Amino acid sequence: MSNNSSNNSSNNSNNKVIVRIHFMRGDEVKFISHLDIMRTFGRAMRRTGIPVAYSQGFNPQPVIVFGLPLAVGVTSLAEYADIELTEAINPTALKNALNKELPAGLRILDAAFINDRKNIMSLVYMASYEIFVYVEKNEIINKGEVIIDKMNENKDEIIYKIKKLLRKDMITVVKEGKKGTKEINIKPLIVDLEIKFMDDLNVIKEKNDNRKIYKITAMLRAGGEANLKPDLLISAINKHTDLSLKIIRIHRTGLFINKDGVLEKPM
Amino acid sequence: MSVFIDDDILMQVEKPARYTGNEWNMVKKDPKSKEISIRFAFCFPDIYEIGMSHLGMRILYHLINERNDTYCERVFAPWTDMEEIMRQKGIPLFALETKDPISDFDFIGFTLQYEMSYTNVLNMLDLAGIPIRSKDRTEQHPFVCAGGPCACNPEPLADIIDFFVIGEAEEVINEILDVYKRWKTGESDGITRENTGVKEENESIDDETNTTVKNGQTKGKSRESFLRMIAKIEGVYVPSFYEVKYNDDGTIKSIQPKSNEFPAKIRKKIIKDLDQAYYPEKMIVPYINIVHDRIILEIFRGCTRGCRFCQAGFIYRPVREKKPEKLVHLAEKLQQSTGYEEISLASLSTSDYTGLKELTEDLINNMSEKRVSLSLPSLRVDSFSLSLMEKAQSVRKSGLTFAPEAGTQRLRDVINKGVTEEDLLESVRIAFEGGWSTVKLYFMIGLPTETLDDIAGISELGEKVVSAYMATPKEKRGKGLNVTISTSCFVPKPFTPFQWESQDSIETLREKQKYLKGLIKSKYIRYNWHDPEISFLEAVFARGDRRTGEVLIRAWEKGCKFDSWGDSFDFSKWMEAFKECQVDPHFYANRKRNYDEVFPWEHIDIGVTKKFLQRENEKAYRGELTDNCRVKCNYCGATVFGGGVCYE
Repeated sequence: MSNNSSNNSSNNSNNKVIVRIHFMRGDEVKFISHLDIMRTFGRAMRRTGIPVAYSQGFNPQPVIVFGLPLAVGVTSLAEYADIELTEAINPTALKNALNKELPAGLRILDAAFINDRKNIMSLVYMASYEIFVYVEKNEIINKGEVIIDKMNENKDEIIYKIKKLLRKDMITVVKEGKKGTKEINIKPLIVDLEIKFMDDLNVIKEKNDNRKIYKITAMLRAGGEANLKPDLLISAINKHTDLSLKIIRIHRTGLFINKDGVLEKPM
Repeated sequence: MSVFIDDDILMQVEKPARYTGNEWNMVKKDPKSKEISIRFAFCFPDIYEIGMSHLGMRILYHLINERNDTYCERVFAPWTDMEEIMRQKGIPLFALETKDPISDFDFIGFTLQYEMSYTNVLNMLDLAGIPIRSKDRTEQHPFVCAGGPCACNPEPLADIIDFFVIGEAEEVINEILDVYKRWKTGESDGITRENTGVKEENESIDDETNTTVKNGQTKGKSRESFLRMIAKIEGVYVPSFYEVKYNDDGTIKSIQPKSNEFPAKIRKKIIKDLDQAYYPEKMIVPYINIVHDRIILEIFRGCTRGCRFCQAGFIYRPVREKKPEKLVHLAEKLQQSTGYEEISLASLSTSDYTGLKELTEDLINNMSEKRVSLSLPSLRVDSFSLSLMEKAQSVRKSGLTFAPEAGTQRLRDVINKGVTEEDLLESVRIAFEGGWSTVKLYFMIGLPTETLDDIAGISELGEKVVSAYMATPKEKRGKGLNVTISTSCFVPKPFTPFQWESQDSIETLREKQKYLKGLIKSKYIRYNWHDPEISFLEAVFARGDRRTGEVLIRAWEKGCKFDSWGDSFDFSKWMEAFKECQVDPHFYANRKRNYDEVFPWEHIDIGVTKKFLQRENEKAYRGELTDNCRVKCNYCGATVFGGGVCYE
């Protein structure tokens, strides 16, 4: 379960037994960081007693390579990981055994042997998300653009503004990286984006909600080569429009790999 | 009704998983089911990562939850970011398991591990919406209890905590819960009888209690009737049933029960046979990294050494070991149920465990194929332990810790630290030859009889360690010598031979630190020291009486909390609090007591006698050593418990 092992070799050599798992991450565990999820899987594997391969060094860890880290607060239906075993175990048996040892909120949906040359992390190319955002009513009134009973026009206006922004060639945003901050153009990283006004939605638990909710469905570049996180997309929209969208929740719906130029699901 | 913590809130705070629970092996019960009649909030007055590392909590959490009638849940102090939001939004302190507000629980139990967590106890009660003072609570409030090592002098919290458990709680807690159940269900007939009794007593007992009774109507009475029932259980101390009288000079004249139905002395409870005692085969596996993120295997309780400054060495007597085969079995079970990659042995002095060789061999054999490493804290360094550590794969030859505690042989004899300079240097030589190159040396400054020569001795010892490294052949020793000298400030503690001693003033401690800093010349030695202000407050509350409780409350009102966390510690607020309460902190910290002085903890009996401690104090001044219990019995008094090393 380490980044290191994947960095050392992004190749799955042929004689290794690799099981790829597809799992979901629910609300119960959405506040657990990626690193902590990795450790949780490592310990769950130890509990199953399934012969997992261990990394070298002082602190041997089960070799589990995860597809794409998920930010804190985000749920997902499309998490993937490659588990290296020391002997072949029926993937369905592995799935059942691991599901018994995983805490609520983490669930293996599918497991299968793979013989890809490369591990999941190095193959990830794109991810799709549902991003729920809201705009507060009074905020719009303050801007003097609309009045409260003309919500139809209002919601159109928001959609219009975002669509207009997306027609530009350059959408720059300041990204904080390991070597300080730099300005990048995220336009090429937005593969597809749809925005819809949600008039009847029960994501929100409070009554008398004073918010208008929109659902953004986005396909974004992901992986080591080029990566756009959904929260950065929203702050880019806020930066380049006079909107002030606030995120309610983010849900990853799909992960796609680039296999010799062809985009496909990891399994 | 459980509290609702919005995602928005959790996105704003550092490490939200501190507040979400649902970890592996968390106990799930339905509190609404008919079976559950008692709800217990086990509170640790510090953050999640510290509290979850505590062994006592891990044991008691699972032990209480073995009962079908009780649901025990965990509560930690929310970090300041979370607290701020909770106060702003009116979210009361809740338990991690159900997120229910703990003000509706039957019991709130705190574990007191260090004095500087006392303000967090107050803060947590307040955050839960429970009155800070015991006398202000009514039947609608939970009973607030506390235990742990600091409870051996419970007096600073006497007005805050309803009852204390003195000693080891594993058996007492079940007795208390049994009584509670009887009290709660027998309300119709049994309690009426109790009530009449209480009312009569009340008039003669305490005016303050009477006021509460009037306010709370019959409710206040039945609350007291429960305390009355448990006050008879050995190991339970109900401070409101005891009266403290003072002399004109501020010292204590007497501490006496208000009625002869209560014991004059409260004797601590111990578990006689640890092999028979409950130990969980499951432990919660947190998502986030905690301080001790591993399986903890308790190998024995107590310590045979009798270092004169060390409270743990006396209050946990007698030494009681677990059998190696029992421990190997437990390790197996715990490894299977947690999936942890590391097991740590826990005790006050691992090297003193009689079955160490057998235990470690078996553990290493069983665990290495599972890639589980063994960590061995508090191990004396010798060739056996170094080869053991290499086999256990628990250290990357990075750091070894030694605790000579004092810089000269004279002072080490005063404190009965049975370690000679030659022992230490020999250990260091073996370590350097084995490839280690980072060494930490722990000392205390301000020990009784200390002179500047003893301080200079610390620096000289550091230099000798450096020379030992230089004398090690280059091909054997590791690269990059790194010696760290750390000094803490001595805090005289109750139930130690130094309980009569005065603590050095803050100024003196600072001067000594400065003096030592000036003496350390080697570029290989780094010097760390503790802030004497915190040690000063520890000295006040470790030996504090009931009058210091008001200071705690005042300091908390001024915003003191998380005092053991450097960045939130504000000494000036504490000093203001002392002034406003007209309590002189120096009376508690910096005053040498006479042998015949009545201590605030005089009514607490931990087995070790005051006579023995006095003998040890006298021997300290003569620089005489006292043997380890295994060599020879020194008649400390712990034989009264009828078990452990005394009868081996």
